[in-house]
Amino acid sequence: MLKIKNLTAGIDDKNILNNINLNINSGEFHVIMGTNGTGKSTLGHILAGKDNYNVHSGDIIYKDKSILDLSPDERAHEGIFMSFQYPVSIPGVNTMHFLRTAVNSIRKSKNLDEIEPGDFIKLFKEKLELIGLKSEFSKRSVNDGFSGGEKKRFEIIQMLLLNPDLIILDETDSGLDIDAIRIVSNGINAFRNKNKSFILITHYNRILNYLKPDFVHVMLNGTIVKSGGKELAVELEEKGYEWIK
Amino acid sequence: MDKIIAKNFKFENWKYTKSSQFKTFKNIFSFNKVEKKIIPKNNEIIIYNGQLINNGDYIVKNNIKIYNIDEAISQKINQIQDKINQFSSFKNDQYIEENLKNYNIGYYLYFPKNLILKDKIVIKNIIEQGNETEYINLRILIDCDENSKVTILSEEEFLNKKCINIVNQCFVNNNSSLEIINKSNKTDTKQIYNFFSLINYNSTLKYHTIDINSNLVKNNYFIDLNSPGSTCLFNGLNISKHKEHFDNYIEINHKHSKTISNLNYKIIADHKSKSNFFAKSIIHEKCSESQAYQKNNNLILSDKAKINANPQLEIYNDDVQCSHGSATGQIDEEAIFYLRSRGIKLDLAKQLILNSFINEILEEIQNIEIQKDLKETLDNYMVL
Ligand SMILES: Nc1ncnc2c1ncn2[C@@H]1O[C@H](COP(=O)(O)OP(=O)(O)O)[C@@H](O)[C@H]1O
Ligand SMILES: [Mg+2]
Repeated sequence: MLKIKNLTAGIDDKNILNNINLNINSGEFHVIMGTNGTGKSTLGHILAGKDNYNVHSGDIIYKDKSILDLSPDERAHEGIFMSFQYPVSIPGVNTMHFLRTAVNSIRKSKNLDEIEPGDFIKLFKEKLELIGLKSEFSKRSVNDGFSGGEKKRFEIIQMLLLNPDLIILDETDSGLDIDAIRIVSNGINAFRNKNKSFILITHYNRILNYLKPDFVHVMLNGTIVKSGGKELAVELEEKGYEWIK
Repeated sequence: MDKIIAKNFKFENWKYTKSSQFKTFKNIFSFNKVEKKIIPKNNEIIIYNGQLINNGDYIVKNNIKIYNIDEAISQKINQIQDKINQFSSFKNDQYIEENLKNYNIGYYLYFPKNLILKDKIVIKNIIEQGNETEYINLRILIDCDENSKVTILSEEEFLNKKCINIVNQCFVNNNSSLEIINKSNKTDTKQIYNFFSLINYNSTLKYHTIDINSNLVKNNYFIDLNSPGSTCLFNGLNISKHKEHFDNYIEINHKHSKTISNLNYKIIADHKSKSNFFAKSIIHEKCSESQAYQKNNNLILSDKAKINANPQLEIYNDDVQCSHGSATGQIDEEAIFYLRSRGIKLDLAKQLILNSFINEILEEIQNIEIQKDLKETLDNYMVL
């Protein structure tokens, strides 16, 4: 599904990511852990196509094609989705209108007809309920005045509605209480199948008890320094990152 | 024909626009009579090339009267001259003086006492004549008598190149509520517009002005809050997409205690347009327990577009509530990326954000039908 090859990238000519290599097959669940400021979110943004980052060398192959020249919307059409660490609030843009526009944009890219407004409302309310947001959220502006936890839940609702194939979850568990982690994890697990791949960025083991990842990678100073199974996450939580260096 | 003698423009309402920009304003245009059969809708008052077309049924049925201003003054209808004399804030402005002396079109609209209108009244002003060197002087007086509730949609269609000099005066009498929505389409028009309003005891003026598609526009608004309970909501949206020069001056005078004003103004400036906004809410010395709020937000879409925004509060009394804020910025790139990362194309993402910016103004319009109609018009206009 995704092959990151010798990726070196950053802002202007300053590197944030150094020679990253990562292979993710369909159906796999990968975790990236690492100290603050090490480049985890940068990697997520580069995968999603944010244009103020420059790729200096290397390539990103997704579904057998390089995606470096694709715009963020084209990448979304191809099935890439990032749940943001810090979702932006967009006052005045209604959540339901936004998501219907997004769903229809993706449908259009696949030559599908627009979804009936009535059908969409039903679908949206269903997902709100599943992830534990009140149906009043359909009347609010995107992330505007949402609490930290509400923002993270809303990201997952978007994931469910847009039905992507490669999902990057950037610290989705930060800001969620214990019950919310369970609810959100159940939502993610129900969404998993053999055709979908995940990259979860996190600092904590708790969510991994629900999500049961296949691989855990440690990223330090913009590069992946160690990879292993989920036992690596347990070890990291106990010992910190010092021992790896 | 009268020539205008240029005076010095020393008033602050002329800070951003020079009189020389209007130097083509030389002579007064006189209309040619054309016969054209226009049938107004029930609720329409149509002024076509200066001629009043007979009014719709709804206008007649509700006893709404329209007079030629000269006739109304000479026949002393509703003591109109006394009312006009109450306007204290007539600035010593050459265009206002010129208009009042030599208007080509002058109508007095009277909404009688206790008139509660369910439907909006549409005033359609269509001018197809005119040219770039002679100007049209237009004067309209709106008089909303006691205990009435009226909504006016004022539509101006000035279709060819012309110069126009407008004075509007508006009385809102005791216990009345008047909502005016100004929607104009005046491509290529050079315009000077002066609006005066007197708002009396326990009365409200809601004024919405949506300015798009112009060449050179200088608008001045002077609003007087005269008595306890005098309230003004002023809501403005100015969208410049090309090379427009817009200049809006708004002066709200709190001349009595317990008066309220709320000003909300937004500008979107693109390409090489220039948009100026200068607002003053003045609470005079003896006007305690008054409230004045100002909010101004602007979006600048191109490097070459310019916005000057200067909202001011002038407060001469301690016992008042006021707030004031102004911000000019670009479309939030982070928001655009967020929308695009969900599959929404760049143009559509921009449009979503611009529409949300515009809708905040449109949603202040109480008349839902007009609100919807304007949303549609602007959605189409904003398509990049
Ligand atoms: N847009 C940006 N401009 C400048 N520096 C940036 C930008 N984005 C990230 N960085 C820098 O890159 C480094 C990695 O940031 P980030 O990817 O957010 O770290 P993490 O998510 O691992 O905590 C940090 O030093 C951060 O300051
Ligand atoms: Mg981060």
